Amino acid sequence: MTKKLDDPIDLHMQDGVPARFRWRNRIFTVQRIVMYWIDVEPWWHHDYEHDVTWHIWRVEVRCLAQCLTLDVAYRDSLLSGNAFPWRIVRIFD
Amino acid sequence: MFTHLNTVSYYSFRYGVASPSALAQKATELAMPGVALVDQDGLSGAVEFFQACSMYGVKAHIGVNLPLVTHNKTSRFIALARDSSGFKALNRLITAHHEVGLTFDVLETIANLLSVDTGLVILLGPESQLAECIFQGQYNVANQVISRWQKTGFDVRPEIVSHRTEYVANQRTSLYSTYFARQYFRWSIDCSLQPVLSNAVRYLGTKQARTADVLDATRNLTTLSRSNVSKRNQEACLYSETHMQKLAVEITGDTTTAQKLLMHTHQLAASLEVTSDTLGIGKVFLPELSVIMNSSAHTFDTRWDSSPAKPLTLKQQESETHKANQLLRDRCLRSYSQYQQTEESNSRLDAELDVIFGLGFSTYFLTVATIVDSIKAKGIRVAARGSGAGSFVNYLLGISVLDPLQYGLLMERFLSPLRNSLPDIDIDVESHRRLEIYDDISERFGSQRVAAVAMFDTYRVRQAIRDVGRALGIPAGEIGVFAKAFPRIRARSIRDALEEFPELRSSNVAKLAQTGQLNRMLDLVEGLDGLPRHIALHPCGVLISDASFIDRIALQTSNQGFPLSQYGKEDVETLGLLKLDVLGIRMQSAMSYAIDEVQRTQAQAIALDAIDFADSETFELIQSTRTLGCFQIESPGQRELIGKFAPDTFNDIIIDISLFRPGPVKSDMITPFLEGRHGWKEIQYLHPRLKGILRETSGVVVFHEQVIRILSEMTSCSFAEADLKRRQFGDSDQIRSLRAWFYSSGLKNRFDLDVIDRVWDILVSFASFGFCKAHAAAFAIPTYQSAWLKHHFPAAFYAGVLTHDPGMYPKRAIVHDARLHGVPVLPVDINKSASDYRVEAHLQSWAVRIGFSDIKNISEDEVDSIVSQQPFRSLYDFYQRTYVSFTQVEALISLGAFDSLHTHVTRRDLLLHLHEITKQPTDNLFVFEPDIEPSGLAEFTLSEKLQIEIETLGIDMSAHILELYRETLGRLPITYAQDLLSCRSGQEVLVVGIKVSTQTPPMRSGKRVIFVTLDDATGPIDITFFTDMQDAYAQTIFSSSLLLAKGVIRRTGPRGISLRGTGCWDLQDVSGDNLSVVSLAHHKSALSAG
Repeated sequence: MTKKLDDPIDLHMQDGVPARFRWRNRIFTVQRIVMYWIDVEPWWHHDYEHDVTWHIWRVEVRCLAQCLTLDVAYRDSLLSGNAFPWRIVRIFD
Repeated sequence: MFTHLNTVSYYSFRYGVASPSALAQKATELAMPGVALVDQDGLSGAVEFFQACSMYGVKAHIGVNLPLVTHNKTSRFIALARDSSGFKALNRLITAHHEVGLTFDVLETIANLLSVDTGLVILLGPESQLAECIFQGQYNVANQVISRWQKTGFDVRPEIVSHRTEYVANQRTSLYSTYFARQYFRWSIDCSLQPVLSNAVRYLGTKQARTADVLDATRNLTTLSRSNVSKRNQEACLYSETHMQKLAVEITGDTTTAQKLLMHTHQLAASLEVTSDTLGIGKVFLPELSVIMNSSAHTFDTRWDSSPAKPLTLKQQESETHKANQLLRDRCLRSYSQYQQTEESNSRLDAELDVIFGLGFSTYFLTVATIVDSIKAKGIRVAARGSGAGSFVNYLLGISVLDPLQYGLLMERFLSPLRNSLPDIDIDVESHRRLEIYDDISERFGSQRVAAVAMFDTYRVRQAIRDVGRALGIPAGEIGVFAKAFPRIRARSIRDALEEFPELRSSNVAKLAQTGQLNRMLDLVEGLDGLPRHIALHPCGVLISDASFIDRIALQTSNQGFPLSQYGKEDVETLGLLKLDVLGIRMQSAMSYAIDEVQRTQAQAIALDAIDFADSETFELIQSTRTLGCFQIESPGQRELIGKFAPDTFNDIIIDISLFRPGPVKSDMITPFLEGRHGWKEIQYLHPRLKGILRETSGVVVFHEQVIRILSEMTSCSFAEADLKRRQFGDSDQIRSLRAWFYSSGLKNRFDLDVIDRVWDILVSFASFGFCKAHAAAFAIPTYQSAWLKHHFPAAFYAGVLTHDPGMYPKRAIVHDARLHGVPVLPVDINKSASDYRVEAHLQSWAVRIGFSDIKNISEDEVDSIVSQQPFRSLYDFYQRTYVSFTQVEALISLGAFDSLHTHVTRRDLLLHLHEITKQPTDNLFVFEPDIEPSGLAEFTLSEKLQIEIETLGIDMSAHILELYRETLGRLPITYAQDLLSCRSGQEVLVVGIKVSTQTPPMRSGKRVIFVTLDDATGPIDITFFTDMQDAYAQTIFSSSLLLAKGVIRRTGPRGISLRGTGCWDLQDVSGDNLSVVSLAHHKSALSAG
């Protein structure tokens, strides 16, 4: 089962891929990158002149003894400037 | 060193976005060694791509993306040519795809036929059957597929692609995920295959990605939504090497393996060698002499699997050329023996043959002559057009009917020893029989050697608006209105058009656009600009080649069933193919029809190509400017010019046609010509030695031929050289050296410096708009012939023009012109009408009878069923014996088609009667014809009749439509067309009429004027509305058909008149109560003007 969510996180990258992040006051370390993909929001649904692009990583992470698979993502668009508002968008149980 | 091996252009119709040249340019900017073009199903972009790559200095790789059918499933593969055997195979593959569809068997047949082997490289990407197997986890099947491919002998490579889409099991978009790419890559390595990396490029960069989405929606005829758009992101770009390296690491998982993948890709690209020689650029491929001379017909069912041609040895080629030269000379001499020979004609013939032999083009002339002979043998009218009329050989071969020596036409303008390109001979034929000629050519030369030239239907503004509108989900009705508001212009001009065109500036669309609400729509419309939508049959070009044709040109079949080359007009010239332009000309059909009608009704045969070209009565007609329906001289502007010019020889018509073109009109060459012509001013010749050259045009330089002669006279160069120099005038890079040459040679030939100065200035300004006299002369023939027919056989002429509709005017305008010309036009009659317009004896003269086929919504079958059952005794008889729908019978009754059968009752009675007949039981054999009793219902009024006629026929048969407004018009001070000539310049007049045409050409300032032509039953009236009047009246001019207009007269010559519009109203608005508005307005301005 998967659960969709939209929680902001504070993520740190290393060599161009997610390495660790803080979520709900806990630190998670990325163990393995499962896959990476890019998704562009359907532009015909919004009025922006520019496209809204999501970069999404499916990662296996560990916090203490707990292991999880989840999708972390950031939105790349002119609207958000250069700041990376990372978030967790999906959790696999 | 990365090379993109999978790149498509917009010749992957409604899929790709970039032009072939743009892809080449972008690859250069990215410093790539080469780039491949692999469009879907064809090579239409290949020549443009190859030439652009050569220009930019990147290597061009040529291939194609094709469907393959295996076990009733279709997948796709890419075939790339490695060498010329591979390129031949590509052409066969494409032809086979369009003829029979591709299977492994077909692939193997082609491989064996051409001994291709590794000359063809196969890429199996995400759309291939192989990738599909891996995706489904069917590894056994995958192994079978790969061994089946390897059996063909081609060099087979898995193509690894990632568009970084999400991987979801069983979802097809996952085929483009990095996750799957890695899976596919690893399997390939395990199988010891050599996979290559590509990006399946669809557009240059993300900016074009939205256009790709719109194309997806358009292709699927749906609105934009995730399920209809094939992509999830915008990754199908022509990415840089750095990006592709990064992608390789992402896919393979580590740098070392990534390097290996990149190296395989590079090595494969480096092994591909397609040269201009492979494509056939710079060579000439004419049909074999044996095929030309052999009159027996060829037939071939298929083209893709016929055996390849054996090339001729050098010795065989020489003997062929020698034979061809001999044959051409013989043919020329045969007709030359009938010619009034002179010293000049002797040397002209020798000179022309020398040039033709020198270029090795005898076969070309023999081919064209053979085709023209065969068209004539079928009784189809044919005439040469263009510079070909300047060749004496063409005249002797019967290709052209005009003796070039008589009119001072030069061969060098057409064919020159200094230009090694195939000349262009264009022939005009009857438009409705053009495809018949295609079939004939195809049969004669064999369908392996013949194909039509392709043409690409590209996005222009209206279609772009429709497709964008549908993609965005705007209702069809709304978008239709929006699209139709635009004139037929380029899609990229949509924003300019909203500001520039008078008919749009005042529209609601323009107002909405100003608010910015239409920005997305307008952006998308601009994005579609110029994208080809599909391939179609070019309206005139036919290719004729030799047996190697099918190995050089990919063929498909047009909608009309004719073999079609995938290349456009320019490309086939680059590829050295003989292209014969067979233009369908409606006027030729109209004249042919007229001749047949004269033969049918008066048993008189007219040899139109042998008529006297100095018939004074024909020139009287032309001078009268009553030339509606005549070829080239019927437009308002031309009528004004011939009114001022008064041509009285055939040569004058040639001059008239050359003068009436934008250049000469704009630079006002016409005024000095007319002043000299009418003796108003003394003619100033540039130099006594140039007098002979310029006499025919009163000292004004009009023709290319005159430029050639002037250059030759002043510099002592040959005509051929002079023509080359003439062509350089338009080139700003060459103008300096040209000037130095002209001045020094001119001085050497003892011309004064001031003469050289003056001539140079004229030549420089003339270069942009001179006209080829041979071309004008070819046009002048049907112009004169149509005028001759209009004068001598007016009824037949009108019947022809009305049946084939060759001109710019609506049929109702031609009908009224016929009446003004004394030819009665008779209404539709159930017994006397035919399908088309027919000549009919009427009151000791000839009239035109309107036919059935112009009745709205009538079908060909219905017309056939009427004509085949004629004559009828009564409406009942008609109803019993024909298969005409109830509504069409009603239409026929309402049009009065039965009036002559039932004289004692009204059309209303007949309609009532029709209802009774249809109520009769149909199963009773003993039904008697019921009588028709007058019911007392009144006949239709004139107004009702006219309304019906306009609605169902488009022609006001019973009377001119203005008759309906007779009473209103009687109360207004109207000036009619016939009286305009007696008005003085500056006088303000009120005119009225039904709108015949509107045009909005740009002026020198870039602003547009509106030209309106009205017809008021006494003749045409031409009015010009300038910018200052457009805001107030444009809306009315474009939306109404019956117009009342006010204007100021300007006299331009004895028969020349023009009106500057100062007001315009819809006649229907001003009739009745508010009549006073116009008359008051008119009255007031008349007062102030006085």
